[in-house]
Amino acid sequence: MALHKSDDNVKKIVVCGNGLAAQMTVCALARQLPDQIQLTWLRIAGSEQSDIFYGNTAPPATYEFNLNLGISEPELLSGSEASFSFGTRYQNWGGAAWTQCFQQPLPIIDGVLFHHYLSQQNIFELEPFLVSAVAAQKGAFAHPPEDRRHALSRAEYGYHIDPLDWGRFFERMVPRDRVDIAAGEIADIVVHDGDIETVRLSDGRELVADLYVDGSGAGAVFLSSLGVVFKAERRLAAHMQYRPLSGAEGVVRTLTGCDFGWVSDTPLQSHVATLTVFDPQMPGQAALIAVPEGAAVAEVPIGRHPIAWAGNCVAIGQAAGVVEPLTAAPVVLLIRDVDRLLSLLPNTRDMRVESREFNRQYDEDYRNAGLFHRAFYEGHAFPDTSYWRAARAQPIDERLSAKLAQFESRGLHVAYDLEPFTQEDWLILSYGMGRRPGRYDRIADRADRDRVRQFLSGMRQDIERCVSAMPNHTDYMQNFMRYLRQQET
Amino acid sequence: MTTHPGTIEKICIVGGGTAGWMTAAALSHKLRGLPVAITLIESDEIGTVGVGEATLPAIRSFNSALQIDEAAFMRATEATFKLGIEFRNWGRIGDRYIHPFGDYGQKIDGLPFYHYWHRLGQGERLDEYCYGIMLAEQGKFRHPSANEGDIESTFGYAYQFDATRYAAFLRQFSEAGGVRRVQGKVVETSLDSVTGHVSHLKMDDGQQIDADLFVDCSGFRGILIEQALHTGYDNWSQWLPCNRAIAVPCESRGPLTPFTRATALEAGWQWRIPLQHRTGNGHVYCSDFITDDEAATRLLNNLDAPALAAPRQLYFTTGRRRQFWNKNVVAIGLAAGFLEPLESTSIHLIQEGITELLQIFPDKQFLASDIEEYNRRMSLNIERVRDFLLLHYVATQRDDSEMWRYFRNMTLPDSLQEKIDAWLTRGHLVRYEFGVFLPPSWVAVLLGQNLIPRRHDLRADKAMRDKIAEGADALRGRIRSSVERASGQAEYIKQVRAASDTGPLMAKG
Repeated sequence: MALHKSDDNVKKIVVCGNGLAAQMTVCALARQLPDQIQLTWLRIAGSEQSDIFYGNTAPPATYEFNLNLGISEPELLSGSEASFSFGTRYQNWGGAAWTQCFQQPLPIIDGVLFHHYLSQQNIFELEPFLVSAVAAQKGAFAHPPEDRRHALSRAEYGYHIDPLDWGRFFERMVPRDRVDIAAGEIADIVVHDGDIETVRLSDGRELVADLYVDGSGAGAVFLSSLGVVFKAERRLAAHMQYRPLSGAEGVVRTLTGCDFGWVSDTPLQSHVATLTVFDPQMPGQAALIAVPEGAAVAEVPIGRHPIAWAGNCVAIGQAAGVVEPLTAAPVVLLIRDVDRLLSLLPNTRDMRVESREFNRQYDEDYRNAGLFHRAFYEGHAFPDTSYWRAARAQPIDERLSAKLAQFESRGLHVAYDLEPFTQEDWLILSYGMGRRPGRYDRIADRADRDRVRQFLSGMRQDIERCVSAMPNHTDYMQNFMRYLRQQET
Repeated sequence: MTTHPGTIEKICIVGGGTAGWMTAAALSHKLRGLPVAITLIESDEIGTVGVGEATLPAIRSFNSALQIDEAAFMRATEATFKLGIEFRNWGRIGDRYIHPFGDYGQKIDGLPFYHYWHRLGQGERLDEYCYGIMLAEQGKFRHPSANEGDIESTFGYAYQFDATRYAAFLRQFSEAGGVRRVQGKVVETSLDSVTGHVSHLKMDDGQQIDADLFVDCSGFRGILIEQALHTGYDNWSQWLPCNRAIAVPCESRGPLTPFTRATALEAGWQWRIPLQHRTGNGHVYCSDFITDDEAATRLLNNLDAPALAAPRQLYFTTGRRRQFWNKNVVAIGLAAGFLEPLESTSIHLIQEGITELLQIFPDKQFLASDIEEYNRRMSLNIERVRDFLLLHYVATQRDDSEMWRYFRNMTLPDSLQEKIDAWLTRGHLVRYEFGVFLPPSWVAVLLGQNLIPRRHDLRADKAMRDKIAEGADALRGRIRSSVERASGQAEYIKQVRAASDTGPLMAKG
């Protein structure tokens, strides 16, 4: 049977799932693909439960991702709980506390990266030079201007999100009548020669498509039917609940390390989302962590499939890999998955080239994001409990060893192609966790030390001045929303 | 000034060609004010190869980092502006295309323009949507606009210059910056018996030169990296079999083209690089497929003006040193490796070597981690250039000679094969971040050599066809009318006071 390895055009796509990955994928396909491609959304109940593992931060890249789909920032803010985010404040993390802020590149002076001058001047704190971190500390926000002379222009922002609400937003952004909805339960997936041939529903209906997109969450119903086996690193549980705003919320997510794992608070537009992540197998955890009534609860394996595209099936988001929501990585990877699918959406049923390239990029993205996460657990002052032991027991990729060694040796950033986290992300993380370069770039010594000192103190003052003139996040958000409503009327 | 214990105090650069003096200029400038003494050894008896005379846009940042005035540099080196390379006869005999410095059209909703061009049925040449190509084809030049919104900001440029004069220009610069030049030949290299590092060099006049860090810019011979340290060489002739070149300058005649030309021949290819005072020409070939005499005759017959000197013969083996940095020796330029100058990468790779050396500047410990990172970065750079060069030979319909048939039967490196497959299937470009040739360059060569994708990205089918066509036509019109207003290259060079006035800037006709 040579059904699928032919030159026939892809005409029908089925996306399965009911959560964020499916909602975002359906929205993206519906808004970007020509109408002659028929889209069916198979909504299988229950697949959204693990969505809290996408966490509460969306990276700066979200802005462009949305824009390419024709979704503007005002539409996002008016249509969802999303609010502005300067990053995450980590507390009690291996004995350290810092703001992992989103940040544009720091100044390069005389060809030398900024942080070398800090080392030269024996300055151990990076944060006073990060405008987004200083603003975050004060709870202040304003859109960064483009004018490079303005201190705020080096700030970068993403969004705080509630993954459940954010998914519903994407669902509402699906053009009306563009997608056929099929709700139900899957009774059987017929596989032939490495491809999905038919999806049978329990009510007897059959869905046949050229391409099957798996957005079904950690269960990966499509991908696993093709025999692709998930490789789990460890298991984690989480619950998410909401509380009303107190009015004093900042512009960062606050994440606090605990013996059982961590807890984060994320201010959204009308409430604060609290996410608790823990090891479900920790002895006595049930007594420690009471699951509040009405909270969303999930338990998932952290890990991924070796490939995300098999035969005529592509997995997106958690169906491909599940990442701890410690940073914006789960959303970074989800966005990359959807972008990658859009750029490699096969024209014909012969999709071997597309799947190879997709899997290559997928492997690189998940591997590189994994480096960033693993670096969070490198240190000495972590609790000796099962959550931390399991996290720290994960192997260290040679790429991460090179990154850590070069930074600690000489403040050099070792980079790989198209990494999901930038040089600034790594620098802020390293400083935050107390890593400092053993040497600095000698060329920094060319500059007059007094002038460097003056420059640095001038930069701090500029940032402080700039931040003191910024409105607090709550006011800015309220004014911005009022402005948007006025525009609508 | 604090002196850190273990910091490098003495650097010795061996070799005074383009690589040597570029290294000396950059190191002396970047390390000025620090207690570092730089010595460069060159022999008046040993000729320099004068690697390629055409460059890539990054040369501008090299010069501007040294605060070199563009007009002064152009006058001193007989430089012309370069908007790209014209490739002739590569896809099929009779074909021509320009590989520009700049993109084609503008992205729409994040999607590269060429997908829309493909959807429109490829009616107009894609070149018509590229400002740099249109300017080049008209023989014109202007500086790019600094305003990002302008159509005139969408191209880059480099230079074509006399590399020997560039080395002399940088020598002056370096010596003024404190570099000590030692004339003579290295007759002996001494290694430290414990570390195996190069400790000092003995010169033919008996002088002894010691240093902490040695930069080997001695060309193919690799006096330190190979002759002293026996680093080893990876031979890449299986991919790029050309192993000889013959070079000859000729008079400058006809309009001064703002591009280099690379014309494919039966057993290699021929370059043409127009400078202000003369035109550089050369024939790169594989000795398995043509004799030296035939190659010389072929070149001389192809010149578009009388030759100004006797042809000069060069021999090389394409490949790379196994380690660019070994112990306390960093090889830069031909001592590091050789790739034929088809895409003007020789000077660029020198520049990359210098930039990375400054980034990972060692101290006397010479940490293995530093050396490994330098070698990793430079390996990636040169391997990616190699694959891009190979693309020119394999993205072709030619099979009219033994050489072209050799390439037809070649099994490509997986990474390149995958790239070509993804392109042909759907116009998808496998991207990377670190490497000199980014997607628009790949598009230029692939399309220029008739590898038209079977299909395009489905997203390009979303918008109304008429709307896309309208936008495309408007873009073409804007480019055309702006190019009309630009000056011819020779005239422009005079306008910006970059004319050397030593030769026939505007040709004899």
